[in-house]
Amino acid sequence: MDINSLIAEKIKELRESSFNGAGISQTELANKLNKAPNTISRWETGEYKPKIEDLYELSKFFKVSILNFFPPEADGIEGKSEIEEEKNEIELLFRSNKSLDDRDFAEIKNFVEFQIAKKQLLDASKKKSSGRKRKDAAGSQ
Amino acid sequence: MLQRKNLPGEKERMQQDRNEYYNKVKLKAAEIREKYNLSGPRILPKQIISILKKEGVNKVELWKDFKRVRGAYIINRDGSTTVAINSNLPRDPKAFTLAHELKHHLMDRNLGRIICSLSNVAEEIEIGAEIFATELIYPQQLFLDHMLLMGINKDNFEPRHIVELKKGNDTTLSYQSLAKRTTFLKIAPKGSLDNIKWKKLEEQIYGIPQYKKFRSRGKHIA
Repeated sequence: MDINSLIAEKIKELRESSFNGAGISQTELANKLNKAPNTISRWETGEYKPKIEDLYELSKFFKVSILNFFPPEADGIEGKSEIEEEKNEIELLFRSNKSLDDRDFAEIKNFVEFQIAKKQLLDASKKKSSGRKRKDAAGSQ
Repeated sequence: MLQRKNLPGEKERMQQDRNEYYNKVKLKAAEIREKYNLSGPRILPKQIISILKKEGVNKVELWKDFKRVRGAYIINRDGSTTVAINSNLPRDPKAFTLAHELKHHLMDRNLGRIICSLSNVAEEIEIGAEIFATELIYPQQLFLDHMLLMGINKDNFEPRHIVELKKGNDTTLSYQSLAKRTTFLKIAPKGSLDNIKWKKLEEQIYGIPQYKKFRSRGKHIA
């Protein structure tokens, strides 16, 4: 499954399972995020691709990490995903620095996760666009 | 529990080491001012962002969801560097924090990720970064020259002089930092400027700024 389909599926899943399973309607969610009423439906069908800022707002609304919208990649050291390694590094930094507290940790973790998510989205769009180029080049020959 | 006693002269030696380190930090700030032709005491955030980039920082990100964190210097897994700054900060603290992170980039890169929060300001590398930022924005010697030009000394000093100085040259160094320096240089007695409401004093001397008047007028209309 490509990243955009995964994101679309995840938005729907979060919307339907939020508020202890009661869920929230697409229109209500659109209102909460200051979006046009049909935007959520288009995100969920994959017709529109949400921007990284939209995903961030969604993650804040549903109180989950933005990384929930992305697949864990197992390409790091010892089979650990890059995301997992990143998380471990931040935790190590905070454990070694006693003067930083949990609130600092949460703010930095949030920032770093946003950066990872942004990179993943960018990488995915690069992969897609490079594929199209090859096709175009083949077609022009 | 056993407590380790300081060896004779150890405390003094530690202080000496610290002073040497802080002097090195001040020299670095002077070097950067010279390199980038910074001559006055009004160094804007965009100027420091440009210096950060020229000094090799790959990304400078303004992040709106920092509340306690003022800034962070991050070495990413691929070796690239990011400076993250709390975007809610007003002009002067933003310039100061950017300058603070510049010190981490120039002098503490080997330490990896550094988080600059409200909770770790007492640490030595953080104090060093505060000294660097102060010196980069408004060097001590320039400050003393300006005080001298205004005819201010420890015998005639009044808090309003700091307001007049800041209003006069629009320095991006905050009132708090200017006050700290004034007491550090013994122009004002220690602790005498701790509880001053600088913005209020500024309004008493120069009147309420136009934008505030408009804001309060808007409230009445509403």
